Amino acid sequence: MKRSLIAAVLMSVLAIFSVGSVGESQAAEKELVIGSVQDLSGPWSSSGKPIIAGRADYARYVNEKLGGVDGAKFKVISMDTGYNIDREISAYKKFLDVDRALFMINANSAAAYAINNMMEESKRGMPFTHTAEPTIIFRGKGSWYFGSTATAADGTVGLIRWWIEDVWKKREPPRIGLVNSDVAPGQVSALYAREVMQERGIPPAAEFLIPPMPMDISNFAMQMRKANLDMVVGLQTNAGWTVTLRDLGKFSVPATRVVSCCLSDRDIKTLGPNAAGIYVGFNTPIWSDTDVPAVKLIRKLRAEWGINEPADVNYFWGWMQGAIVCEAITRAVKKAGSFEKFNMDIDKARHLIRDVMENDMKGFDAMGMCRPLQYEPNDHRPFDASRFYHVEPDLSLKFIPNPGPWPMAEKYKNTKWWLDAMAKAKK
Amino acid sequence: MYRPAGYFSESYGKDINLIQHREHWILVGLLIVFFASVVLFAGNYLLGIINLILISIISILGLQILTGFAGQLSVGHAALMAVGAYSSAILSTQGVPVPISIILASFLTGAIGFLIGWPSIRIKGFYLLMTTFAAQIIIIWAIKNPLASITRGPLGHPAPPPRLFGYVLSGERAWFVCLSLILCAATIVALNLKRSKAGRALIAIRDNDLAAEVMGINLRNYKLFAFFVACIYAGLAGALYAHWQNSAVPEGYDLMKSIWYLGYLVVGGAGSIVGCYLGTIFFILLEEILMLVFSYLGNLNQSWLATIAPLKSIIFGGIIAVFLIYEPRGLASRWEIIKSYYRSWPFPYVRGN
Repeated sequence: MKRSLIAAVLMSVLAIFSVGSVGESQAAEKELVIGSVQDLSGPWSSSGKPIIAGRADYARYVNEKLGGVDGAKFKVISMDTGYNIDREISAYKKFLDVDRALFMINANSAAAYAINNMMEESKRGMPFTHTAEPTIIFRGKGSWYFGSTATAADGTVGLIRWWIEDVWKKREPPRIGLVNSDVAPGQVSALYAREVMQERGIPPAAEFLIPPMPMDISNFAMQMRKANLDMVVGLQTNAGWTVTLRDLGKFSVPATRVVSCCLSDRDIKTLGPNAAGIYVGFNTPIWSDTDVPAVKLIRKLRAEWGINEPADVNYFWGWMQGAIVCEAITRAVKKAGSFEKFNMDIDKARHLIRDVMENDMKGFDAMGMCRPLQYEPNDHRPFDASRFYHVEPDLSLKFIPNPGPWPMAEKYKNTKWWLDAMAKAKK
Repeated sequence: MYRPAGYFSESYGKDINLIQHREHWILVGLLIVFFASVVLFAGNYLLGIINLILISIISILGLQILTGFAGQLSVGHAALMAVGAYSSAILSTQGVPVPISIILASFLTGAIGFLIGWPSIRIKGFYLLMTTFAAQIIIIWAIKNPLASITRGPLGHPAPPPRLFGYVLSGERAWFVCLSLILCAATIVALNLKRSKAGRALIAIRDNDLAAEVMGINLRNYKLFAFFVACIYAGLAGALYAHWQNSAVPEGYDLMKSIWYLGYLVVGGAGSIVGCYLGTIFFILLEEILMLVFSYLGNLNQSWLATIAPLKSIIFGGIIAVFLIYEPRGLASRWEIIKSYYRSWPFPYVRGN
């Protein structure tokens, strides 16, 4: 027993030594490491799985078809953190110090806010982007964060505006119900939607915050029915939307159902007839948008790689993020002159990528996958737009042409909510 | 209680010493070696995990006092951490020095805990569990909604790092040293509390509240005392957690966290201070190791990743279930068995129980 105790102590000390030395190790030769975090389990997993595949596939495309970057290959390290803030922050630290990642793509809005603050405070960080940015858009100077999609709030409000102006067309104001998830993206969507509706003199007729993993929310559906709504809109987890939309169908609530994001092909199949008639907003084109060059490329690549089924709507979201991140790293390597020069000092390389993101990515649209980027120093929003689709009776998605580029970003800036938040951030 | 042969307590003072014999000193020495090794050699990633463990143990010590010692069940512990986190974050951004804001936040949380504990005078068991559940929901709801103008609601509130003697406490290594010292103090307080009159009264209430009352123990005062002390611990842990992460966000203190904290306690061993350490280390390391293993396997082939990810939760749950079947008294009990084996070595047949 004594011997085993001594052995256990020695092993513990050795383990600490070894992990410590891992922290100091260099990334493998000729590798450009990207850390990718998403929910592969938990209430967002239905979206998370295709998103993470899209990111990895873009890196694969660059490695296999474009020969990498100056001989170096992209390596995407994917992690499932199951919407757990502690695990996600831990993953960020691993990417930063152990894996020597150049860029991180994270999932959880609350974790993104904490990560952003930790990077600013420690004066050491790496560029990172996020699936939706509601909690860290007010970042002030020196941020490492870059938006890669329209915010969750943009999606909801864009859909409300489009629906009121292009679909409703009645003189009396519509009765709109807001149904959002009781986590940061949903709450910020509700916050912004309320204000934009208020500007138009339309108070929410009903409002609900749904738990991320609802067991049964039939009571909410009954209340929505009682509220006699014309439209139900919001942002929820995949699990939340699936149950909400099922119950709205089950109780024959006649309101138009508008989903701002987080609905996957699998969710639509699960909903079956209850999905027909839903309007959905996505951040990117999808499988059926064959006129978009990136979609054409993805179709060709998947055929080559032997993947027969169509890519999920969320796959394109991940692909777009992968494209932005890989392109920024590629441009940074070129700016450094060679991979060897770029790879000499990891911290300098990360700063160079941040500089490229702020100054050299304007106009990049990932072959039509997003609106041209508009990053500027200290204003890292991408200014991309939601695209709207209608779920047909056969459960296919039909594209609805936008009435024009969304002026949401400008409008966003001028709302009281935005100005107050920016003023607080500057303090 | 087993002691090495030849050891006798010759006075009450010696009997209540926390460090009593050579083996205890060896353990302290090993802890110092471990501490020094971590400070000198551990990377930031490992330090980050250790720091999370240290903060969680502080919180679990509070829950141990409330649930393990006093027998008052609670699933609102994470919300009370949120009270500490937000109070300290708000106070520190209003110009109060961070160390003082952490202390004030701890006592404010204690006061809130006092209120939450009030129903425990009349109710117990499952009914008390439901009131703490309500407290969890109400506190987080209040942070997100009616108090949003102060807490910034879902947007999260910044929490600046502490400044001690002109030195900004930034970086995992500095936090590790600071948290170790705080945890050391918190553990000593909890250990002494357990052996004090109050601690024995709490244990008597846990074992049989009617018998305790008949013996003259004031149930109301001691139950409220337990809530107050437990919530000071929760507030302290929450405040440290917020300043460590430079932010307070409501999602860091959700219901699941409260439930898992009870799990830490049960797996560690209810009523045992060592159990707080063992349960927390077991859970957090298991989660982290599973995340790394599945990430490694998934990255061998990206197409596996989505398929095997849900298995992580199944394995996590399975390990806990198997563990509870074979060691229902918790890891602390296993630790006691190891100790008794060691004390009777090389004559294990005298081991007794």
